[in-house]
Amino acid sequence: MTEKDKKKITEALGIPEPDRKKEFAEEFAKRSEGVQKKPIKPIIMRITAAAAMLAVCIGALTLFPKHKTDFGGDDNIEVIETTTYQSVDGAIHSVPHTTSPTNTEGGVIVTTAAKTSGKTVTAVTTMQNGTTKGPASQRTTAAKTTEGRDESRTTTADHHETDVTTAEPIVQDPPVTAAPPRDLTVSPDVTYTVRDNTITEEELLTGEGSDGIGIPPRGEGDPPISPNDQKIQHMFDISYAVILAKVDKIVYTSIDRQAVTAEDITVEAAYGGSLNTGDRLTVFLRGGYMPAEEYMKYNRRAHIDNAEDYSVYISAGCRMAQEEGESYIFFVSDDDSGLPDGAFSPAEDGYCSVFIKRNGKYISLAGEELSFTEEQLSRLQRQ
Amino acid sequence: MSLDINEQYDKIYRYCFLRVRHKETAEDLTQETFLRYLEHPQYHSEDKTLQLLYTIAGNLCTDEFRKIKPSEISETASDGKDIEDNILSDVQLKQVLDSLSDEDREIVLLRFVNEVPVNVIAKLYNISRFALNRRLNRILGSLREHLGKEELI
Repeated sequence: MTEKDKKKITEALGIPEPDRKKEFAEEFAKRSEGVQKKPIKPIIMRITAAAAMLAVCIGALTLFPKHKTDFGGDDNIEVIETTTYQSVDGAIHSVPHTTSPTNTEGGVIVTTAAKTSGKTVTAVTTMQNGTTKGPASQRTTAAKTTEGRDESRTTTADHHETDVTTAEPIVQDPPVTAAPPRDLTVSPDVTYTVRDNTITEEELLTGEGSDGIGIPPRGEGDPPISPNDQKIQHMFDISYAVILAKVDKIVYTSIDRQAVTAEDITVEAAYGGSLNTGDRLTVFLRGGYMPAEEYMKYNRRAHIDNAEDYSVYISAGCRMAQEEGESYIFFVSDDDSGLPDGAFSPAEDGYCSVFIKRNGKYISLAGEELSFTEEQLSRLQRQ
Repeated sequence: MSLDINEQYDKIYRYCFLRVRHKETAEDLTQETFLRYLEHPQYHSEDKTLQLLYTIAGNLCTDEFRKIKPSEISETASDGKDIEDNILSDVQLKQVLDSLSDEDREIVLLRFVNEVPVNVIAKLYNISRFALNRRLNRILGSLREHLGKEELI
């Protein structure tokens, strides 16, 4: 609004100019200095308390006993191997052996269970992450059987330079992946279903008919649309995020007696801001459907017979109805004042902030006057 | 955030005058508002600072309004100078503004003249942004019609 318009309104409201502004401003400036020069004591106390807290935390972290894994000392390593075999009589016998590897250094011994294949019994002993000065050796004891059978035992040393096939793979750190998608959706307390009979707000208030449900043409009460590039740049600057998202679910509700549409959307691509691909969120937009009898309760000028059979459609500036399953560009704000906690709202009021792709460019649902191309979007994203 | 007294004084004064309709009282309340503001902790956010100022001003005006007798309201509503100004100013616009409720007039002043952010006004009047925007659009439609401009925001 221009200064001239502001002055017109001020005069129309009958507000005279103040007389004592200048002298009060001087007094206020002096008093402000006094306030700013308050005793330092509280500030010093706060800083000191913060520093003391920090020191306590650091001390706790450094003095906290750390768990150390003891890899050293041959004496500490004892391997028990169990050989399992099936004798001729069918009975399963197991013969435990205790072995101590020699000439090892800092290794971890892993023993796998014995495997029986036919009459062959194999046990694998693997030493991981260690080095050996010589081949690890084990004493083996032949099992006692009624019949001769084959028995073999394999011992391998796993150096970090050599590749050794082991029965248990070495666990490695999982590869770094992108942050998992988040579910940020919220549910409104009240929801409305759309009745078979619908009527637009305009029809209800003016009593004039229109074709079908119809979206009313642009009228005097609608906000003007300023030049394209400036508007798009401005929306990009003020948005919490700019996303391409698919509408999963559309729910009609109301807040403070105003019709509101809640849309659960899934981010397909992010062009700026703090939302990631795969995130799910709920955007609340003005307008939608509400039961006619409820609408009439808050709008006394409205009247229709058999109101319980009708839903009223409030466009709130929307010229192209949204559909579930379609994708749109959203400029969203995380300002949820007046909305359920965690909800998102359009960055600019109304459907100026929602765009659909048509004929190679993105058109605002508030009207084709506001649009941008892929190239413009890429340029804004790079800035 | 440091307060620009030169900018905010006029705005708070206009708001107080609209509430109490008396010039001297409005100035007293404006100054009282700023003095009480100094007693509060300073906010870094401009929105919170504005919200605090208008809350203090609103409470002072409410207290003052309760003190004013009904007979005094009509006497102080306008004097001879105001009547002349009314004749010279846009009569139609004045009629539109007079037809608004008190709260709507305050909202017009706060939003369009004082340029207070929408979220601050919504919190002051304890309504949602949606309800406030709807109200503003309705008022704007009427104002635009009488100011005769399409690009009025």
